[in-house]
Amino acid sequence: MLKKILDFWASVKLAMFLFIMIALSSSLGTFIQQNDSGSKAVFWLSEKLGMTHEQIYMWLVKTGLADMYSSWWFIALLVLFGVNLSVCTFYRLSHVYRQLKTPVTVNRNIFGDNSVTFEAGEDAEANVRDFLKSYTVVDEKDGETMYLAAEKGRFARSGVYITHLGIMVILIAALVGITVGFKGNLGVVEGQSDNTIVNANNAARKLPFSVRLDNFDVKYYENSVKPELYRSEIAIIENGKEISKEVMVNSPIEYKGYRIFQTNHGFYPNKDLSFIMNTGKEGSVKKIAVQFGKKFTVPGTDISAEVTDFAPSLGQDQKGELVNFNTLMMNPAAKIEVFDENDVSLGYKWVFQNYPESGQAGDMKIEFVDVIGAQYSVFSVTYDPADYLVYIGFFILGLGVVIAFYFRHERIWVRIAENGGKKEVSVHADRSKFRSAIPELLEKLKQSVTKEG
Amino acid sequence: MNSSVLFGIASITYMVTMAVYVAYLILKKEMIGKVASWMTIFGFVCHTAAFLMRWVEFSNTYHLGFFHSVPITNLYESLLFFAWCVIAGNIWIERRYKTKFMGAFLTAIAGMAVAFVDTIGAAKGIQPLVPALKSNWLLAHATMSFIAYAAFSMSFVAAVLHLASLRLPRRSGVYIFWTVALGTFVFVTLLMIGDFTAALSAKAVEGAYKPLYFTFKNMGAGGFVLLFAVYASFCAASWFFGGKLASLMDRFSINGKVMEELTYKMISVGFPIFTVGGLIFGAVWADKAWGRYWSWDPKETWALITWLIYAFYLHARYVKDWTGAKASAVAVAGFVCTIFTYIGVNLLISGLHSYGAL
Repeated sequence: MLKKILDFWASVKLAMFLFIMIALSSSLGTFIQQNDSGSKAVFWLSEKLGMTHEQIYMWLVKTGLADMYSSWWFIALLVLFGVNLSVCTFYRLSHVYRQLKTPVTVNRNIFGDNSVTFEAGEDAEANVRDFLKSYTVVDEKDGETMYLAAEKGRFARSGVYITHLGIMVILIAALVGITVGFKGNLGVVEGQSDNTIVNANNAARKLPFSVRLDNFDVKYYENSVKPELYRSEIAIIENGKEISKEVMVNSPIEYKGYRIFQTNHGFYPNKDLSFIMNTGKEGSVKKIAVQFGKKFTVPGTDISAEVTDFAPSLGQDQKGELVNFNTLMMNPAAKIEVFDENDVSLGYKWVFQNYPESGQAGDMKIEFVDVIGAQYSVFSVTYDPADYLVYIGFFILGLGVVIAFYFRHERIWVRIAENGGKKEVSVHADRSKFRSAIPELLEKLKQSVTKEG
Repeated sequence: MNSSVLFGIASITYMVTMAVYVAYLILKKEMIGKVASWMTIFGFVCHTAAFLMRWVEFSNTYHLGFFHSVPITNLYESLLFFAWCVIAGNIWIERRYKTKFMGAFLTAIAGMAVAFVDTIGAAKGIQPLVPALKSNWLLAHATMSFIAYAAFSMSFVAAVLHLASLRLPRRSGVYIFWTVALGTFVFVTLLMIGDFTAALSAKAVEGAYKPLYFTFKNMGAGGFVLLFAVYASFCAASWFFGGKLASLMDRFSINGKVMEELTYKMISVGFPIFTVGGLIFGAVWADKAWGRYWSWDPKETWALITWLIYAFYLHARYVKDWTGAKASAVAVAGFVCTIFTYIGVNLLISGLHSYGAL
């Protein structure tokens, strides 16, 4: 009885059934957009079935299709798959272990229908040994008859099991990750800090530290709207201590098991901008920070100025009029109004961050260096204690498939007998896969043994 | 001479070579076959040179490290690389199996790939990389995925030929399946090329082109019926004439068993590359860039589905010794999934892999 149950769980048939079930069910989730009540699939279904969108979505939620990959039945399929794989692998382990431990032996009775027999010269044995250079060879002599057995790549038989082991490790790591780990998004505006992440289900969670965004930069390729680089300068604040870090795409930072990734960014229109300006009369230029809409005095003069407008991507349209193209920080510009000592407006000027000369007026300059508070950056924060286990699993799986598919166990048996002054050679071979190529291998062996010279 | 010119020469060579291979199949003249083989090699050499030149151009233009600038970053470049792998496979098969029979089919696949990319004028220029693409993991991921796709497409050709050689009755489910799959494959490829050409001549292509968009945009109910009728006639033609393939194979004494063996071999070559490059490296990259190695993004999910179908095939073939029609039918299904992962997901569903967009 127990054997029957084990046989069922170890069967390849079950594995093949599960492959198809997992494939079919996971394809469903790609057509029904997950966690989205306004998806195309919902519209389509409600049209076809004559039900309201809400009814359809409620139905999707009930069946688990709306969040399929974490629905109980999908997880159950994966668990079944894991159990099947484990039982199957451990069931055969002792058998494989024996195979791996047992070297090839001379077999006098192996030569038969599938063997090849041919005549050869005196140097037959030397030629055979030469052909078997890359193999491990054992031999036995019986009177005038010589028996050889050779093999290579015995370890290749382990490939399948290493592959399975890798998948098991990945499944276990994923399970740990789902139960213990978490991830969420953290959005911060320049100059501010936050410690609350929000996950995909809108649940908030407090981090043991907070993150302050000091500066966010996008660098664009020359004459292109294609971004080359996103960079967030952040400070991690815990118990009053600050650590400065830099987060870029593909280059996350790690802090106490948490990993922080650059995921998104944007323009945040608000009135709390502060501008860094290099300003003053020639010779007395100073770097100062000024607030949006607050007057400041240009150092070394009686003139005051005020930032009255800001545009992240200022350019000219076809008519030559100034227009803000988009919310990317492609060509930030500040509109600066200038006043004389009696607070009478002298006019305004757009000053561009990318063109320092735009802030020059006679011997006075107002150079726009940077703006703080105009952008936000979104970080993805993850915590997964089993992260390294996944990588171990990846490594094992990768090693497994390479061994399983690119190596094979090959065995060759040879008998060299005396037959009326001539040598009669019989050869037989076996390999762990692509058995149909065995005749070709034997033919090659024959050619190299009977070759002239 | 710049890389585009060489790519163009290679593309044209492949398409002409396909015609020469077809002539060889019809006339069965050894001489024509030889010409086709040499043309393949010529195209391959041009293609290789173009690829290397583009690599250097890319590296110089954007001052990226040499290994960061393998030119496989968008659909145009990846399809070209895919075609390169298929042609390399064709050269190998001709040498290994001493037959030029597969040439017509493989150059057809390579030719369709380059014909398709050739019509996409917009994306041809060397384009800078967005930040998420600057990663060695991604590079290895993309390169290896395309090698695997090429191996799978060769397994598809071999599986179709094996199925044809079985001379199944027209009523049989497996026969209907493979002929319809073949008809669909040809129809979709031609439709995509046609759609893009039409969109291009109507100057509807500005910025991002969405495949098949032009066809479906202006289509009324009547158009859909017509399109479906054309599709059905492709499948019907494939179903009706599918048997002829077996006679053609007989003329060239192509053994069905050899094709079955080749199917298995190609999947055995592609599967580990797909596992390591497609799934593992893709997951590592996603983890490095976004902090999650698996997020059930449609492209990931379809890659997993493809992997599961081929895993099914390998277990059936190796453990259960399936060598008949069923196994090859699974191989055909695997390729249908491969195509869907490669192009279908980008067209019909979109996810994080927006880089594959045109």
